[in-house]
Parts: sequence; structure tokens; C-alpha cells
Amino acid sequence: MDAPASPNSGNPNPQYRTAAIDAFLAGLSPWELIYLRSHFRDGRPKVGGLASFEDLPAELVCITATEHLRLEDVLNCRRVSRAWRAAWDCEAVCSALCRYFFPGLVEIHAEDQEQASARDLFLQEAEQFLRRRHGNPLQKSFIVWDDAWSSEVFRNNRPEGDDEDAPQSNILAPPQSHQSLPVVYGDGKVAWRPSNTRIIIDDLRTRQRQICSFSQFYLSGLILNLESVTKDLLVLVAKGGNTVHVWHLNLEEWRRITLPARFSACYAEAERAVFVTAESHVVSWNWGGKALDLGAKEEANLGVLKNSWSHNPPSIIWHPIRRSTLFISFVYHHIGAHICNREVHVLKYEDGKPVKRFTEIITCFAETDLSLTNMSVWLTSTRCQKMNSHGLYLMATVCLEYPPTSTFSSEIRNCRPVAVASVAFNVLTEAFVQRHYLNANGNPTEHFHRSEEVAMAVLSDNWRSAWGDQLILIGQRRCDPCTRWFQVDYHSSQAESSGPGPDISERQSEVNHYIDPSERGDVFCDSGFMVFTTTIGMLVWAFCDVPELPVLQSSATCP
Amino acid sequence: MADTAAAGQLEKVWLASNDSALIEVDRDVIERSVLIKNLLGDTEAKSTKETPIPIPNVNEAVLRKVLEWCEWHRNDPPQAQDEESDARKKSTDIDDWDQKFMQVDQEMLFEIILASNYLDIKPLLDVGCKTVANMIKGKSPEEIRKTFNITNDFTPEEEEQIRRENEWAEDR
Repeated sequence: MDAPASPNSGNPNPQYRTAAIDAFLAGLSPWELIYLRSHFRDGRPKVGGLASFEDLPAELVCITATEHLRLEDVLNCRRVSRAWRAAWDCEAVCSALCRYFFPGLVEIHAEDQEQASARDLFLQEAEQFLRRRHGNPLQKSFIVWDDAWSSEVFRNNRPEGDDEDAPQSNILAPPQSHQSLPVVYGDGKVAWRPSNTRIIIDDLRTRQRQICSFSQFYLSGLILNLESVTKDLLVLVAKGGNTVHVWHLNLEEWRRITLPARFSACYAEAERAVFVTAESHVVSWNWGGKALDLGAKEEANLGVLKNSWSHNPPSIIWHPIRRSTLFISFVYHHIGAHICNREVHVLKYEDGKPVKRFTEIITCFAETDLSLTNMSVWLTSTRCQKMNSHGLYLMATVCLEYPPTSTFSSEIRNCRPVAVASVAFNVLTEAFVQRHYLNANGNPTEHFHRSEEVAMAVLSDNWRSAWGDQLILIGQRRCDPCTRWFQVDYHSSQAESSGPGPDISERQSEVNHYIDPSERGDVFCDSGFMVFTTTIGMLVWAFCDVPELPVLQSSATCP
Repeated sequence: MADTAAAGQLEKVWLASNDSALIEVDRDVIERSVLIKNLLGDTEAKSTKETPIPIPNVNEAVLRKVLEWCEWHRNDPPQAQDEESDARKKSTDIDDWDQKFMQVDQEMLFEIILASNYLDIKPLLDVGCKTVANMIKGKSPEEIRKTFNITNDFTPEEEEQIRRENEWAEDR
């Protein structure tokens, strides 16, 4: 009876066959038709031989993914069936996924000795990224400041008594003043200064402690500020001076560098550092080498001639792979009759010489109704900071606040940051990335249309930290010491996200739980850790495999 | 060629599908396909009922469906290049007519995608991929299986590996 509909028999002419099926259907009774209809509705006659998802060539899988799907969707697709997994595991697809979701990732691994497959790179990076996006670190810990020779958490390898200044065991009492403990972070190391004569360097990866004593400087009247720590170096700077003191963590030796003007900022990595002076000198230096002035001061002055000014000393980015390459960035303001423009310039240096320039105008919230004259400009430094482990650096951020206030207004207490616009630069793909971030619990779109009621502020570096697709503001105002979490606005930057995005407001309140409202702390992010410092200790979220840290006891440790 | 293009509003082109159906179509309609457009531009020879252009990868039902799309979009402005088109593609909105057009059996949907890829009709390919993406987006693996009528054929060992890969989503 079903002979005419069978695909393997009868006349090969499709028109004839269609006509035959129509004729067959016309001859059926209503009950037979209903039977047939339900038969089809149940999906019983399987359609074979026609295309399905697995049949799409790699480039079409890429188009589907890279233009319309979120990272979570892609990973869900890999979990559907073996055939789907195979379709998504194809090297061409994974390599496209890497380039789309993690620009720079392929480039940074291009020179690896043992080249990992694009699939492994993608899966590894996706896991790291999503752990952070979903606030799911491998470990959470709160470690109180204990400046003993060896603490319960960090062990000192050297025998006790080497340092005459070390107290026996001492959990620090919170300081009396509102000044928070000086802390810097780099490469999994937390360096903090419990007193004017010593600095403790705690390694979160190895749980080892090192103590750097510099009482000789203190005795000679020098007060050294903690500036930077890397896996090899500790950088200290005499307060208000032009002398930098560098201590090598492994060799335990000192070096002194004298700068041509007052010190402003330091960008250190492994055994090298670049120092920026308040007069925009950029001095490159490495352990065992000489200091070299890169002549960026002239570049900074250039802007003034063009009726624009750079409101801060330049920032420095090390090339993650090539040692001879570095980037210097300037943020310029053009003040015209009606407009106030901000421009980011990035200069690429090779072997100490400028070779290429990249420019980008910060559009902020240009597509909204806000006029840029509404912006209140905060004169603070905007040093760049790393945003991911594959080449992206944050250059400048502008914050939308509601309601707007002038700096002098008493109403400043009610001012809330609701959205952040940022400009970042990827040194591996050599491309700018502009992003919008939205606050955890706010709907800023409603503010976008009320231009008279919002203000913008340029955010200073010590107020913010960004990693992955999140940005955290901390202690923005004296009255607002908590962290504020922002998530990239996928509605504006990518295919519309489906369903609710990850809820970061929970994480915001979880972290703020530990922060004393009357003090100011810091937040540091990198691929391995998120560290929030408070006056009594630090909250550590570990995203990499490290020896077990003390388990978080929520009631016992919070202030 | 210029003359034929000017007078070519009603110029007809004959196509032969892989199941040997002959289809007559206006030249400007089929020129939505970059492949055919280049082919027609390259050869002086006319495509007639006797010498149709063979479309070896597409069968009649799919070809007719694709031509229906080309017909509706025959007067669309040419696609902007590179960056602008990127911006356009980024939105997941599909216009109403296209959305209705894509309400077909899944097998047909994938056949349309493959055909538009072969014929090089970027906007149609884009609508197709968007439709597939919308069927995947925000769904759990089980929901995707249901949507695409797929059975889970992972072995317990593979399941275990998948679970480990997705630990980021689990509460600790």
C-alpha cells in the first residue's frame, strides 16, 4: 500500500512521484488521513539521507557559532551527541572559535614548543573564562594579615632569626587610621608592608613567604613605597623622589635606578621594568642591564601643540611574546568649542624605537542621547592594565553615573555608577576593542535616555580592575567603599544573549560581605586569582590549581 | 554584456536541478547567487531550455525554495562589504518574511543552508545560520537533542569526561 511513497521504487521522475503520492492521498478516508497525520506527528517515518547539523561543513558551523552563539551554547552543543561533538571538535572550527571568543589566544601559543591543538586551547580557555563569569573559582579563602616569620598559611624557607626585625607571631590589628595596608600583587605574589622596615611577599601558588627587610634605608631617612611585584622583582620607590630601588626575590640583591624626574608609575614583568616619570619620561630597564630612555617625553608634549593635552603620563604594555617589543599608550583630550574628545594613541616600539602608531577615539556612550559636554572630567591617571592572558589591555574607562553631581556637591553620597564604557587594545591582534559594561543590579538603559540626569567620569586605575568580561570598581568614593561588579553588555556588543545572563549581583554581595564599609581596599585580578584586600586580610578566589588554601568560613572571618 | 544587462530585466535563465527538473527563472532573480552571476558574466553562451545551467548539488524542491527567497529579495540593495555587514549580521533579528520562509522541516532548513552556501547567496546563508543558532541558543544539551531529534549516544566514559569538562557550571 505504501509502494508509491517508498523512495526506492517506482518512476525516478520526481514530478511523477509527487503526483502519485497526491493521488494516493486523495483516495484515503478521513480516518486513514488522521492515522497518517498522527503517524507523522510522532516523527515515526525517519527522514534519512537529507542534511542535518553534522553535515554542515566546518565553515558553516563556524558561521553559526561565531555570529550568533554564546560560549555556553557552544559548549552545550559539544554535549549533544558524538556526531555533534565531532562537528565542533574539528580543528578548523576550534581555531575559528578561538579567534572569535579569545582573540590573541592562537597567536600567543603560535610559538609554543609543543603546539597544543586549537581544540585544547579553546576548551582550556573557555573553562577558565566561564569559571570566572559564573563566579565559580576552584578555591575561596580568606587569609588574615599575619606578619610572623612563618604564618599558618605561608611558610618561610629560611630559618627564623635571619631577620632581627621579625616578630614572633602577630596577626595584625586593623590600623587605626583609614589608610589601608599597602599591598601590591603580581604573578600570584602578594607583597604587603606591615611596617616601614619590611615587606612580606606571600606566594599564593607555592604558599611560601619571603621577607624583605630594608631597615638600612629607613635608618637613613628614606621611606620606601611599595610599587610593584613580579615573579622575580620587588620594586620600591622613595616617597616623592626619583630613585627606584629594586630587590631581586631570588638573588636577594638590591639595585638602584635614578630617574630623570620624579617617579610616577612602574610597569614590571619578570626581570624587567619600565619606569614612567611625572614628566612623561619612559625609562626601560632590566636586571643586569642598563636603563634606557625611550624618548616618549617628546611624544607626550606633541599633543599640547595640537590643541590637545594628555592628562596623564603614558602607560606601558610589554609584548607578551617578543621581548624587544613594547607599547606606550597616551590618552589625549581635545577640547573644542562644543565637543570634548578623548583619543587613545598606542605606539609600538621595537628595540627602543617607535615603529607604528594606532589611534582610537573613545566613543563612550555616543550612540545614546548624552552630550559629551555633560561629562565631568576627573583628572586622574589612567594606567593600562591587563584584561586577559592573550594580549588585551584596558586603556581608558569612562563611567556613567546617576544622578550626576559635581565633585563639590553634598549629594555625592547618592551617586551611583550605572555603566562603564571602555577602550582596550589587543597587542597580539593589534586592534582596539570598545566595550560597554552594565552594573550587576541596575538597568542603565533607562538612564541613557535622560541625558540631563547623568554624568560621566573618567575612572582612575586604582578604582577599577577588569578581567575577562567583568569589571570591578572598588571604593569609588569615600562613602562607597564596596565593590561594584560590571558585566560586558552582550546586547550591544554581540548577538543578543538568550535567557538571563550570569547573575553577578550575588558575587557582588558575597565579596562586599567581607569589606568593612569604613575602609578602602584593593582588588587585583589575573588569570590565576582574584584578590580583594581589606584591613584585616585578603579574600582570595583561586582560578588555577594551587596547594590548598585555608577554607573559607563565612561567619568566622568576616568583619 | 552591458546591453543585455540593461534590457535584461526580463531575460530568462534555465536551470537544471540534480534530479533533472528544469526551472525557468528571471536573470536578476538568480543573480542573487554570486556563483550563477559570475558564471553568466563569464560566458557569452545563453542558458536555454536546451542548454540549462546544471546545479548538481541541489534538488528541485530545495532549488524552488531558494528561488522563492531570491524572488522576494530580488530588489534588495547589494550587500555592504566587510565591517558594515559585520555589524548588520551581529543582530539576531530576522525579518518577518524570512522568518516565515524558514519555518520548514529541519532537513529542508539544512538543505537550504547547504544550497545557499554552494550557490553563494550570503544573505540567505546568514538567515539560515541565524535560524539554526536560534534553535540552539539558551538550550540545555537535552533540549537541543529534542529540538533536532537526536539520541544521546555517548558511552558512560564519555559522559564522565563531558561532566569534567563542564565543572565550571557546577556548584562547589
